[in-house]
Amino acid sequence: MNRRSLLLALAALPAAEPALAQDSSAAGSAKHLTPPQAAAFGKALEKDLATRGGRVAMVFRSGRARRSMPEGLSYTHGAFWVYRDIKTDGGQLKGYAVYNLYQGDGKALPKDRSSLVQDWPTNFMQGSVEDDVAVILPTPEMQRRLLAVIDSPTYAAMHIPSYGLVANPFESRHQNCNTFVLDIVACAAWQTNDPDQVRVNLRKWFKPSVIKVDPLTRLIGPMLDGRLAVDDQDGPIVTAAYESIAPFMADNALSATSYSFQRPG
Amino acid sequence: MRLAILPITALIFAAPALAQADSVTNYSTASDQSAQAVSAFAEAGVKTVAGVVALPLMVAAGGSAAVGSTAQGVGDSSMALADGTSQAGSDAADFSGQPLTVTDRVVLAPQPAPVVPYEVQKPK
Repeated sequence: MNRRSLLLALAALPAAEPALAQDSSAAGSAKHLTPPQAAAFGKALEKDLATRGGRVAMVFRSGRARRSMPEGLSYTHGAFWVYRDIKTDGGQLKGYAVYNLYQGDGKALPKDRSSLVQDWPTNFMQGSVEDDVAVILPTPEMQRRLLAVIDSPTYAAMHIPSYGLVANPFESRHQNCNTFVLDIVACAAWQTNDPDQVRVNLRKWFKPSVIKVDPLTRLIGPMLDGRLAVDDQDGPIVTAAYESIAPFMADNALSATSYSFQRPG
Repeated sequence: MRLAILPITALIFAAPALAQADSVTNYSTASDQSAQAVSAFAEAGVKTVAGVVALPLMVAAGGSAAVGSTAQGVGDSSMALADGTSQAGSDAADFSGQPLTVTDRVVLAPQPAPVVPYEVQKPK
């Protein structure tokens, strides 16, 4: 980058600020809910899902404060909540297990890589910085198909370890939690385990979320952080989010309902 | 020096704009808060239980597939199940939408192995 570009970049950054509306709340994000509050939030949603007879749901939390989210997006991390028999040290219980794609922590796994991890509702809620989550409850048949995929080798086979914060759902280069959720939904909807067929189908039927980013940010971001990779984007930056997955499922009769669930007072 | 400042500044602005997903594991958070969490759960009267594993349906129904332990890398257990078994498992479940029962206890994952320096540290 030459001197002129640097000056242009410096000049452009303040202009970008209002659109980006970032803040420094990320460091405190995990402390929004105390462990008991996160546990109560998780248990309340478990009971809501159970009352609805939901065996498989997709739940989305806000891991960033709303005011720092890209325009039009309210939720960040999505995962499957699956009704399970849970083996404990003392016996067996019934409740929900959470199936996530997590990016690396930078220690055991580089931050630009991801792994599939099963944990529990309390873990999920501890990452929320808001007092609501979004839920998509698939139709009964889609729940049946999703469970079949989650419990099959297809689930792990659809994982793309290269992590991208704005992974393109139409490409197989990077993946994040939400594009992974979408891929599994696609496998269930079309009853396929062929990643290429999934891409072709999504290109035809899925309308992605568009992330508005100025050219400078788009240019510099990926140079500084591997998670900001945009080498799978050939136009506007597109990815998957609750705001695009929910309409896709509703429009194609894959979901019974979607709703916001508030943390009980 | 100014060359260094630019990338740092740019990243501060760039990350939130592009940071659509936050697939960050909670393990580090849980570790940081571990001491507080244990006492907090107790003080709040929350009944907790350590979840060893979430059982795939056929296993829960009495199948013999061996599964791993703790909060595990998913796929480890499911990879042990053939496609047909999984399909049969989902077929066996009741998807009629009838209310389901859920334990009142809060299931927790065991935390990673402890990492404690040998030498005395200054309290935080």
